[in-house]
Amino acid sequence: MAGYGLLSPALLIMVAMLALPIAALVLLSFWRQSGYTLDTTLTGANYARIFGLSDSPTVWMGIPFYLAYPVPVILLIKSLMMSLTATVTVIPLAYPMAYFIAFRVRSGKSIWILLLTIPFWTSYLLRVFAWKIMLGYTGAINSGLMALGIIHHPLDALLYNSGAVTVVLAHSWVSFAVLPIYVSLEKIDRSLLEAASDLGDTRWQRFRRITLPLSMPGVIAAALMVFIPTVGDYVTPTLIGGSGGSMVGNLIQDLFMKRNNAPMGAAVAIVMMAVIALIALLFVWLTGYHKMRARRR
Amino acid sequence: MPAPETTVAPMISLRNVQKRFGDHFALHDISLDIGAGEFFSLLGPSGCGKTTLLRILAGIEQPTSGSLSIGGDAMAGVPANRRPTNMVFQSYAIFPHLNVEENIGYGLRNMSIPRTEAAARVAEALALVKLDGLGRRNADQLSGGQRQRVALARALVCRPKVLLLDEPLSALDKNLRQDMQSELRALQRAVGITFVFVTHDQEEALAMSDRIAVMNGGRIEQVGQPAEIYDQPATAFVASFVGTLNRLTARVTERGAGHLTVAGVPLHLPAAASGPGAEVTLAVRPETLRLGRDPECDLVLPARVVEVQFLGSIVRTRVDVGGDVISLDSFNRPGSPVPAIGSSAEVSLRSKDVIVTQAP
Repeated sequence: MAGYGLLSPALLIMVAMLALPIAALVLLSFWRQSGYTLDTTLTGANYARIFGLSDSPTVWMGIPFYLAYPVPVILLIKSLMMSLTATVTVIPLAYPMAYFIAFRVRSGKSIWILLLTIPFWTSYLLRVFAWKIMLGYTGAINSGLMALGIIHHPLDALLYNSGAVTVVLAHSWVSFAVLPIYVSLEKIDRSLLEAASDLGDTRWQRFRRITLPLSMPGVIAAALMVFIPTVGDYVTPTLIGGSGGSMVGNLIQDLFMKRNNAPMGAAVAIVMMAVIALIALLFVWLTGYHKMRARRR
Repeated sequence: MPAPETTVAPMISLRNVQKRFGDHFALHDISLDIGAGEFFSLLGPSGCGKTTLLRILAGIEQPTSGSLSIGGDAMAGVPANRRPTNMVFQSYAIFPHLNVEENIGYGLRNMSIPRTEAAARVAEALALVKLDGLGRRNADQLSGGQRQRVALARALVCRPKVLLLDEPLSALDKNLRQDMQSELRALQRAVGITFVFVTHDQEEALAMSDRIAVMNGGRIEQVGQPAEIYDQPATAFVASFVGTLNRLTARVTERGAGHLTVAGVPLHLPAAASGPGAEVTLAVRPETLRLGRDPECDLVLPARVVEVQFLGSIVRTRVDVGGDVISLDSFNRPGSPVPAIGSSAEVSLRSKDVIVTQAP
């Protein structure tokens, strides 16, 4: 019982700030907006609308969606793709950095870790805004290239698209991803690496057969840490994405704040949460399954 | 130091090897030959450089200067993964994400060996270390002794010219350690590979080795067979590190070199070559001392019993001889009385068993 006593402050905060709001959100998603009032009769109409079929397809990226209200599903798929791209970009960027700190830095590792946190000394909003200044029509990149005479008209493809959002997401999250990978690399017993060399491995073989598999828990943690929060991000797509780069978070915000349809927004949020949870579980299960299979072999 | 001679062709040859970490010399000018098929131990206290020397042989560390050849090939610039050596690490370094078979077969994957032959060699190695049937076990389901066997099999399966063992028995409990000592020795005879065995345990080194190099402070103090090291220690350090040693202070009498008195008793030791009045330290092994008057011994010293330790088969008595407290062992014979603390006694020894070292 003493253990639960230690848990209780965190538990209270979790219940009050997380579990209750989510429960409220779930309840809200089963209500309906009628004019300016909420209809509190329980109904699945919002979900029925999100997944309601139609005979005339909406085509997005060449894929036909036979849905009557295709916006949430399409935006969700688009958000997942963008987050996945950001995650896939972040891991190879973060891994060498973590590897360097874990294996190459002999003294003053804490200074390197401290340096990694410098981006967090300013607000997320400011960092995203800085990217807008970099990528904008009269931004640093365009004026720089023009001053060098490489281009004569500013490139307008830099900002306001999903590519720009992905770049900014990757940049914002890369330092987060370094830490779990660093921890898992740091934990690897150095004698295992010496043993691998002793048994004939070249440096690359040793990395592939020992270092990488043993650091997988860190890579999985890093991937989830980047993927889960970026799917629902709406600050970056608002500032950087414009109309072309909007994500499902923008739709949810829109439904709550502008279109006065909080129950629909709640339903989209719940669907998003469920899909992310499913993907995260699938990911963990797949990697865990891989390990189990390796053990049974 | 000139390289000691070996009776067989050297498998390992070290010449003037030095290793420096910053300002600290881990190894000073090591020259050593180790013969093919030898069970060779590097014995010394922690920090004496024995593990550094082993890691230099493995190619994990590079010597600061000096040369090294293994099997006649110079090893300068040859990385660990291309040396004909394999190592059993002190921590065993069992790969936690692989099972026993995969651990043992790890090195074979780097040789171009057909899959079926590799599997056969893994099975053979498992049998050799008596782990048959445990091939599919996970690394985290093994006991300390089993991990040690996996590490041994993993190194031996590669058929190295030299097997390097870094204190492999230190993590095992006492009974298992003694079993593994004789098993390891038998295994070495069976496979005929040169073993270089690092240990800080002198009993282990004496029990297992063909030859021993006693190391201290980055230098080799003595190289020799176990009996030589024990009976004729070359330096005071070897004498005190290997086995238990009693120190007796003697004084050279007016008659000159070789004529001494210990606790008032005169004796003649030609090896004590100091001038009159000088103090000389005599070293005596506990097992060469007898409690009481022994007709085989030419020297009888007066003593007083200070402490009696009953160790089961052996009774260790600590006695004061002229101000020096020394210990001596006698077998526990039921019926023979244990000496009383504080009582006076006599200690007999043969003057030829006395080792003369210089006064500190």
